[in-house]
Amino acid sequence: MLASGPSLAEEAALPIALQVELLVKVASYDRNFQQRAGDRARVFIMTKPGNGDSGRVAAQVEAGLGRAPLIGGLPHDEVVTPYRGATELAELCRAQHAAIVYFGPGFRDDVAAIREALDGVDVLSVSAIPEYVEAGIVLGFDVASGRPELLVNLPQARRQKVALRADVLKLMKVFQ
Amino acid sequence: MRKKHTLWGAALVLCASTAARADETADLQSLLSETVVVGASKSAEKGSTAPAVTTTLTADDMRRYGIRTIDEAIDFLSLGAATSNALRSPEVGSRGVLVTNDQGNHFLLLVDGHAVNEALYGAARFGRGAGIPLEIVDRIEVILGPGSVLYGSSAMLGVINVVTKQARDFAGTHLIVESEVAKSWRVSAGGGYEFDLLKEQGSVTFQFDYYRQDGPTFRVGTQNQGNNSIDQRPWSFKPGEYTGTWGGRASHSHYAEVPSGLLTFRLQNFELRLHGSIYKRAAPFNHDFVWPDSDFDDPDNFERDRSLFADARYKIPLSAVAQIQTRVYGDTFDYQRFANASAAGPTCAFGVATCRRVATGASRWAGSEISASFDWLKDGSAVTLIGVDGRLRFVASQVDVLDAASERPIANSDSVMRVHDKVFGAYAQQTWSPTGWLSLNAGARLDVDQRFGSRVSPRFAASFPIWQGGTLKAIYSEAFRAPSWQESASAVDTQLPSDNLRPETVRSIEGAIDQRLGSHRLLFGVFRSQWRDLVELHVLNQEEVKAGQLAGWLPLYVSTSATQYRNVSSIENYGFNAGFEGSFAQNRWRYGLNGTGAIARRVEKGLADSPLVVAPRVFGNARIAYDLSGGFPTIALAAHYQAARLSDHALAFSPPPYAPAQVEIRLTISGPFPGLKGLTYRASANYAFAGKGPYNIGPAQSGTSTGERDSTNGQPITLYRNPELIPVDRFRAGVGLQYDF
Repeated sequence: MLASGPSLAEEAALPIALQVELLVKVASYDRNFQQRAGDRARVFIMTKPGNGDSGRVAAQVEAGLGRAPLIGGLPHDEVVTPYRGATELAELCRAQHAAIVYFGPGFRDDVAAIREALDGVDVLSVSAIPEYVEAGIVLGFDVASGRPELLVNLPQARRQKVALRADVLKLMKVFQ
Repeated sequence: MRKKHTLWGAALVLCASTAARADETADLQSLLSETVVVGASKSAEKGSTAPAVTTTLTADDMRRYGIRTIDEAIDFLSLGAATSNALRSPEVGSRGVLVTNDQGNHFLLLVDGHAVNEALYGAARFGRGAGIPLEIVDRIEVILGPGSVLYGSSAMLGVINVVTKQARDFAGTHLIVESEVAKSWRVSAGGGYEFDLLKEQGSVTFQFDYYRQDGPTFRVGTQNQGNNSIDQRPWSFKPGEYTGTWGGRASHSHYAEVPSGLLTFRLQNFELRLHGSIYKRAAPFNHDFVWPDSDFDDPDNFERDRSLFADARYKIPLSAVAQIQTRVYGDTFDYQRFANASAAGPTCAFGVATCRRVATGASRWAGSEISASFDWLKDGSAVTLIGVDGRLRFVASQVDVLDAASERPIANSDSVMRVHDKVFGAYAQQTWSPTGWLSLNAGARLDVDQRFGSRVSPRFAASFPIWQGGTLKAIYSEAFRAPSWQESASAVDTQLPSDNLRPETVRSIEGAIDQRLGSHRLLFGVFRSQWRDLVELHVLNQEEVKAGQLAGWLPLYVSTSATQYRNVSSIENYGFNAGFEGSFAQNRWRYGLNGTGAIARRVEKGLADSPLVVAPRVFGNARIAYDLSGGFPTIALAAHYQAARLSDHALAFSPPPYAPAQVEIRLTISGPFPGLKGLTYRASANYAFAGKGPYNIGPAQSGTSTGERDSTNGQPITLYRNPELIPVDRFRAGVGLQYDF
């Protein structure tokens, strides 16, 4: 928002509404999504306490997902929740059978810990900030050459049991 | 035989399977083929629902199709816009309207949201003179139609927003060498680096560039100017030569030199952008803009721009609802034009062998913009944007005549202007998506200028999905162009100062359908626009000359050819745009096709309506590329077309001269250099089928009255010499290397 040039640091490059549309589509290409989610997909949208941007993006993601009838072919619930640490996050994902956990801006210093904590946790982690993907979030969004770009951290995807189809991976920028 | 059938069957199954797979991801590909636009409403949004018809010229396409400048990108890739090359600096038009000699002041040029058009001439450069190396550019957004709602003056034809790359997209160091064989060369260095500073995330991106062009040599038809009326000798177009003849071989005076640099520094929410360039160029002809009596093929006849800007902005997120952005900026632009004239005439009547006429202009401004956005429902569905932008400006200009030999002045400075002024703008925009199927955008901007008071520029836009993948848009918008200070205040001995010039205005209504089919996009739009109060140099009649003399504005010796800037004409304009683009075979094949048909009629009270000169009525482009992949090159072919066009002074001739229809094709091959990691190459060959462009060159810029009358009808008899049109550089071949590390 409020830009006629490239986005400033820690700002979502791609409009949130478009991110949400892409997330809904990508989830349906994750072969483990339905098994992970069960009969209802739970999406946790994390906010960083004290970060206004984080809260704003979370609200937009919640509203956008709320308009999508299905994610990965399943009905779904969204929960906006403050981030209290990587260990607590991993616990939350396990205990609540989270299908997706979404991070807005403000998590730059936490991504490494999140990556370690989510190792082996069956969840699709998603970020609005492109830089977070290389650092360990599975899926992210960017704008490259004026068009949306999907980013995927493939090793982390394997660790979190996210199995995207090969033809979908060809449409993504893959971090190995 | 059975084995053969089995192979065919397997192949069919494979093809079917591939097609099915492609279909399965078609919905995802459709989303990924969306464009993202930030210039239309100062926020990132989908191109299909943005409140204007937009084309995004991507860095990938620009590299793929061998594009080197903004004007080439417009011609080969964009929808609805086209340029015309006057060899000095390209002119840009849109949807059938191009105002020749406007120095780019009807299109607003933004560099990452920073308005470049200056106040003295309203000038913006779209060719090499822009000083923007394309390697650092992420995309160019071409936003068609009136766009003053957020940006103020000059956005009449549209807005061109050059968006540069983030450091992560320009990571590392980049060295570039490039040459158009025997014509030009370029060296460039750039980089993108991310770092931590003061516990904050920072980045810097930059590119410094040097471009030099020499030639090609042109041969232009000769024109016999005869004797001049001052000393009765044959006219001279070369020191010491009184042949009366202009033209021939021009081998010294077609060159350009452009050093430039662009740097962006970011630290968390702070951003500083710096840009500077010098653009020196010379064209081998005497155009009326370069004074018709100047010497032919003289390398000392040239123009030079020097520009520099700084733009610092800071974003303050206040809450989930509100955020503020502040911006301070400062620009400086200098213009110089030098022309030697050896003939006694309008430029040189001072009894020296060769006069050197020097026009200089300067424009400096500094300002501040504060804007705030309010996401009322915290979901992006109802966002208010408000902002104010205040600017202090200084402009200056003068014309001097020197003795070319001694460089000493031989007359008092003419057309002297020194002006300070303030301009102010305030804007508001509301976006609202009450349901998933309707997006509304309404806004208005108030601009206050001490010369004409105030001007309000509104815009209303609505977009609705009409069926799967289809979006219908309807847009009403207005824009204006404040008269440049050159138009408002300049005066020479044969030109009255203007009197109460009003801003030029345009209003437009348009509709467009954007249809996406997987990775393919189809766009069709119609438009109708009305331009009012166009500022032109009006030739005074005898009564007006007398009145000017009585008022003391015009010297008594002036009898004809006295002029004054006035709000003279209107333009009625309507037409359609159509575009089709996409990719297939997993993006290995890419294609695009754009076309525009438009009618534009100039209307002036008391005169018959006339078509616009230089502006093409029908134009478009087509492109196709195939990526061999696996270390092999990408092969790309692009072409653009412009229908036959009236020359800039066509209406002063009978019959009016037309430049022939132009088709320009470009074949480009690019890819990684085998065996050398980080090294890539790009080679292209460019051919223009027509050899002439729509500009009259040489001293013959109109017919000459014989002073006699036709005995049959009593009309004055005018003699028309053969008009000479500007030559086109028809064949160009270039090669470039880029090393990334």
